[in-house]
Amino acid sequence: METTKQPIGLSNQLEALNFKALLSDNSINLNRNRKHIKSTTRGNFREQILRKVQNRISPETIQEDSKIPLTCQFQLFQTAMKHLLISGQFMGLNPVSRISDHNPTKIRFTVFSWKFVYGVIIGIAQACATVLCFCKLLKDSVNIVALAYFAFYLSTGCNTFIFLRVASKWPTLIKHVYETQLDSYIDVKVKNKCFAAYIIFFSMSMTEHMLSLLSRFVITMDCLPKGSDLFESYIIRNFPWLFEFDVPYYLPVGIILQFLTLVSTINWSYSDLFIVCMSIYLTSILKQINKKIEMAGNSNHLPIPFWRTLREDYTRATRLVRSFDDTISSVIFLSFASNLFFICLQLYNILSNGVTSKYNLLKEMCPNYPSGPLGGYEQIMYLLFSLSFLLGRSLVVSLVAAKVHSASMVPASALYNIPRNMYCSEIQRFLDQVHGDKVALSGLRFFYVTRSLVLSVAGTIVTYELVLLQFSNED
Amino acid sequence: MRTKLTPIIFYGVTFISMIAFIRASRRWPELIQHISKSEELDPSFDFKLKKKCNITLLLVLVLAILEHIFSIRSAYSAAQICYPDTGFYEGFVRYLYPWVFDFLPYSAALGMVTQFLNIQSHFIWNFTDLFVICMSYYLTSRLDLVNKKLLPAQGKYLPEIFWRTTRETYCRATKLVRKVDEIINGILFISFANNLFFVCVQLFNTFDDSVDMVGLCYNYSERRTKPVGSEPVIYLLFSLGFLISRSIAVSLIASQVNLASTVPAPILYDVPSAVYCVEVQRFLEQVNGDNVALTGLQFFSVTRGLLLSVAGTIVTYELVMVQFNQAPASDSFTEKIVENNISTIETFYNYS
Repeated sequence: METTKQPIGLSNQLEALNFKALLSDNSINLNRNRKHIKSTTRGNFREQILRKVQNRISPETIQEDSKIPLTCQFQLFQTAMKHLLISGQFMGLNPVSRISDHNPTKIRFTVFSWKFVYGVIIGIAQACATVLCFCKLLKDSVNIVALAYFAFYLSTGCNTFIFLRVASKWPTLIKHVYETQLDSYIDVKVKNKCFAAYIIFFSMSMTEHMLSLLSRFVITMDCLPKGSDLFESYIIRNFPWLFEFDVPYYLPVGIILQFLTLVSTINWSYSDLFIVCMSIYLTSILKQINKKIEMAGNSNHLPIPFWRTLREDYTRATRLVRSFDDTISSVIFLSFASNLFFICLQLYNILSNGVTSKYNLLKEMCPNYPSGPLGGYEQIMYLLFSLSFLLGRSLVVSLVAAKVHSASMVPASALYNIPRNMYCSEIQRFLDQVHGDKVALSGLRFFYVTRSLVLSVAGTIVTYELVLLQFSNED
Repeated sequence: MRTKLTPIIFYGVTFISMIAFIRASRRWPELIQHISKSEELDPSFDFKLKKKCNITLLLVLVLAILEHIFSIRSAYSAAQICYPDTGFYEGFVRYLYPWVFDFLPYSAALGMVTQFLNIQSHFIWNFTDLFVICMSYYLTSRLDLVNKKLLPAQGKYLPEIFWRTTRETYCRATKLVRKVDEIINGILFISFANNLFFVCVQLFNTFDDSVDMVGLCYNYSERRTKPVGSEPVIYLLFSLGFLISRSIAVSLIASQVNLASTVPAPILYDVPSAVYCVEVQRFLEQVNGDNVALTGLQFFSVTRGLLLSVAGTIVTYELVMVQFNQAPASDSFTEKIVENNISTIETFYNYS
């Protein structure tokens, strides 16, 4: 017998983990029709369980192996979120040192790292831009372009500072992910889904930035007086909030401003991507639990300890959702608020001014018109693409984040169908918990992201648009 | 019309607040007796509560005094323009309180009495919010007493007697919340209604009048006076900022009571099955089913979601009100559009 060769402590751990690992491991061939499950804890089952336990207990062995089989939630989380988190750090967001390390003790948040300083510099630059835009807004009358600039820099500046706060809570969150004992609910498709979301969001965000650059360069080229520098006139035209205060133009200033615009534009859609990836991860865990409940509901008889374990796993999953919510709820709040504001603003702009804005009319009076590759339609294309990207992004974030709540309500319907001979106090406790607990991502606890929120936000947008459009009808 | 309506509402609301406080003070002794009995059974060692209340009190009163100073400065500079030929104090008092001095003859004593009444009313306005904030601090600390006992017990194997005593402590705390709510719900209702009304009116004044029209004299003989300097602007912006931050602070702090009452639920879900008993089940049912929060005359419960719906209401009302004001032929709006277009064309051709 193998147990006589192992130290006492490990065999006790094996005894404790035996039953649980046995029932939840898909790779162990379990004949579900057998009544006496406890008797099948001998022989090769012990080998498999021992290997799994050793993998989990010693993290030092894990980091040496690059092709790690995904056996725990922590590794899945780190591999799925690697691209997202590292590219965020290029924009000064979430400056946690060694964020993709597979050893959770190495992940730390320190104030004196260069990533933190870089993030703070970008945040301060965006804050300065916000203040200058606000001064310009006060100086001129309230018009849509100035308001849009102000709101843009304000929301991206707030985003940077909110992610600094997220970074300070990140090591605690990672610790919770590492310690959550939900390793039997791993869905490897999460990696592919997160990567696909990452590619789609980034490519569309870069396309939007390219289109914006193109349309602005074309406008500058159209109305360029003879003999002046293209880049200089482009910078002065597009950053009026800086150059109207008699700041002289220098080439490095122009390059810095262009870099700031790039970072802010990607920042704008980064928080949506972040929320989508976290929601995909959390939903996958809840869905795996739901699958197991459904399979269990179809079988003939399962003992009370099985339901107890299932309920405890569900509790751990909801605790994980709550822990994620504590960390990222401010990101969700800001994302929803800024999406709502910008959708209202863009829709009002298009509905009241039409797609051919006064810029297009004035452009035709310019000497070099039309000089762009799309023959005068760059502005329209950018406007339409930007609006549809914004609408699509808001819709996707709302729907994906609402899946967490929907997935947490699914066990109820499976539990209602449990036959009379299997019903026990554990199932009653499980049902009470599913009914009573509200498991959802929230925006700073002001609102919970559910499917009905999408409907009420849409209703709000329509109401505000109808009221705002009355303004333009009086001209 | 708007300038005449605001003082009526202001003094009317302070009068109603006085009545609400009188009603509360009649039931105050029984509330204190209930609190002393409850504190005897669950002694609390929260020393930070007193410091929190004192700091909040100091902060709000200092900011209120600052606002009053700004208002006096702005009234002084406006009175110099509107009433240049009367004495210093007379002009000042006539500018501030036209609803008295348009009907009654001027005397320095009457001016001082009116000013004293005005200061009293402003103080009542701030005191209502402060009262709600301090009561919410106290109730949150009582609910946190239960939470502090429960948090170390998460996932542990504890006997039934522990769950029973914790549940009874929680019951007493919620009963205290309900008792306090019975007595102060009128005050809370007035505070929220008042804040909502004045935020709408002040925001509307800021958007509509545009700051160079502040300082309009009430007797209309000096219509569209020359700009009176920066004091009215500072006063307007400071007053608006103070009002909005006070309203948000009251909503957030009063909603902490509701948040603190929902904390036991996750801990109770984690109770291991070996020690799950009827006491834990009762406790869970109470936490899930009972809505523990301060209310406004039982019309609404103060939760975090309320703040969001109030903000939405304010934005909707602002949009509708600004639009109403521009419906008749208003030259300033179309003038601004023409100016805007001209400046856009100019920037196209001049790059220097």
